[in-house]
Amino acid sequence: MNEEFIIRSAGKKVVLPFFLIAAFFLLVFTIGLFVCSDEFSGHYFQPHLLALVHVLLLGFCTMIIFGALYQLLPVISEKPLFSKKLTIWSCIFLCWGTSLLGYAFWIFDSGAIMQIGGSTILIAVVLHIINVLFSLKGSKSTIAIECIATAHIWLLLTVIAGVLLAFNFQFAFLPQNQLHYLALHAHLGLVGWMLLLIIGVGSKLIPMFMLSGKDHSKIIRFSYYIINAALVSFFADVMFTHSYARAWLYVILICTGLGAFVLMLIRVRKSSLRKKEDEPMKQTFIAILFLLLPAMLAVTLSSPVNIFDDNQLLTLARVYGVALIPGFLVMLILAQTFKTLPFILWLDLKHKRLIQPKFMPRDLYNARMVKVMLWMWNTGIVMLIAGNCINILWMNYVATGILNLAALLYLGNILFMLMNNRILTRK
Amino acid sequence: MKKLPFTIPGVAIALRNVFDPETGFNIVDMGLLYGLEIETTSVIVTLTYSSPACPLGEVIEEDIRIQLKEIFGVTDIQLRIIFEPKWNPEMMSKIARESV
Repeated sequence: MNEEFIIRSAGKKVVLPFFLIAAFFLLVFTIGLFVCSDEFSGHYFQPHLLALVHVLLLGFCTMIIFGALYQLLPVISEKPLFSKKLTIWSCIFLCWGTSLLGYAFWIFDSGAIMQIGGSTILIAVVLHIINVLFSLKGSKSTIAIECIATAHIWLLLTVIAGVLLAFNFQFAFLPQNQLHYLALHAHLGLVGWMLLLIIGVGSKLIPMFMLSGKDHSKIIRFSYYIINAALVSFFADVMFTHSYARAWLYVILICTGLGAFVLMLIRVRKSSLRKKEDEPMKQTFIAILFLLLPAMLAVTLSSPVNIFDDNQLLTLARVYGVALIPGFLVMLILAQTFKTLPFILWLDLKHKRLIQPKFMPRDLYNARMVKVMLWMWNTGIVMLIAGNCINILWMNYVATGILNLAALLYLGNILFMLMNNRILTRK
Repeated sequence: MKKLPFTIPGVAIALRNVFDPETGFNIVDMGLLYGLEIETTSVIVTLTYSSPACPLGEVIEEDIRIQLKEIFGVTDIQLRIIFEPKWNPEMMSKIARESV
């Protein structure tokens, strides 16, 4: 074998637990959302909503991102994964930490459970970052790698801020109140960790899936610098001047960076050899299109010109949260699950020589079931946003009911793939 | 499969049984096969992947060995993996490009 060619894949056993646990957390989130459908009319800083947001962002989004990264890192860095043991420990700590933190928020115990939960998540993140950095060490620097590495720095800062906030509930040592730091903590995580990572990984994978050979690194580099400049300025501003007065400026900079990423996607689609995308790719583009809504709301909410009253602003803030987190982020992850997980399982079957040459990863899942699940999620989100805007309680119940069905179908699809994989392995 | 001659076109036809899982196309139509050399009982296959750490590399390599052994009984197979020129979608065959 040529030395230039390197065989590196993290393997099914490393990645599967993350997807499976994440699917359960998604179900926990949707059940919780259904249970507190009548709590949407108040302020977003309330125990149940905080519990649900943390369960979704840590238990589902971060869990899947960790798992998928362990598979993708060797492809992107062109080097093997540093440690498989660390992946297992990061999974265990993240799972326990999220459960404890979610429970602590739900019952609003701001003492030991919340502090242990937050600290356990911090341990999971540190273990994950050690693995990522050592896996990337010495690899050729590309914009995708820079995005991934920087996203992890923001993740660490987000989690440290989260742990400090958890302790601050009991010991109140921070100069400002919890709410002051909440937007900073949330946006370091959402923009610095999640969006930057999506941009980095997306810039590498989307052209590959779409069969587009063009180089888009310049436009992604622009996006990378402008988003990071905005985040650093935002962080410094909130920490040192204790002011959100210039938030609109950072929002515009971040939206410009996102615009550059969207422009890259448009170019990829234009230069793509594919005439028709599969359902997961179609849904990926829908999710990115959906990002327009939270982007517009972020501009509105941060604008120095205020045309809304306090109640309207609270509603807009809730809609912003729904559109960005279970809307854009979860939509994207749900769709991309069916680009990554079938491939991981297929690779394992192929190594064991258990499938025919023409058996493809997409043969492992039921495409129709995936399509129904993805459209149910989209419908549920749109209904939830509508229910929030016009304040109709039954609409919230119907929306969260649909989201529950979608989460069940998602879990069902993953179990279906694992069952298929098991049947084929037994043969 | 019909008995194929142990010639360069024959080996190229045999390699059409090795597939890329993302597109469902074989490696010949994908343009991943860069060259073939045949000696009396051995084959040298020159091919590329989309990146040096392509997770499919190992699988494709194994499939090539299986196909050549099953169809021609050849076990002396040398695989040369090169990354210059870099693969791009324009290298796909016209048939693949039109039906993707």
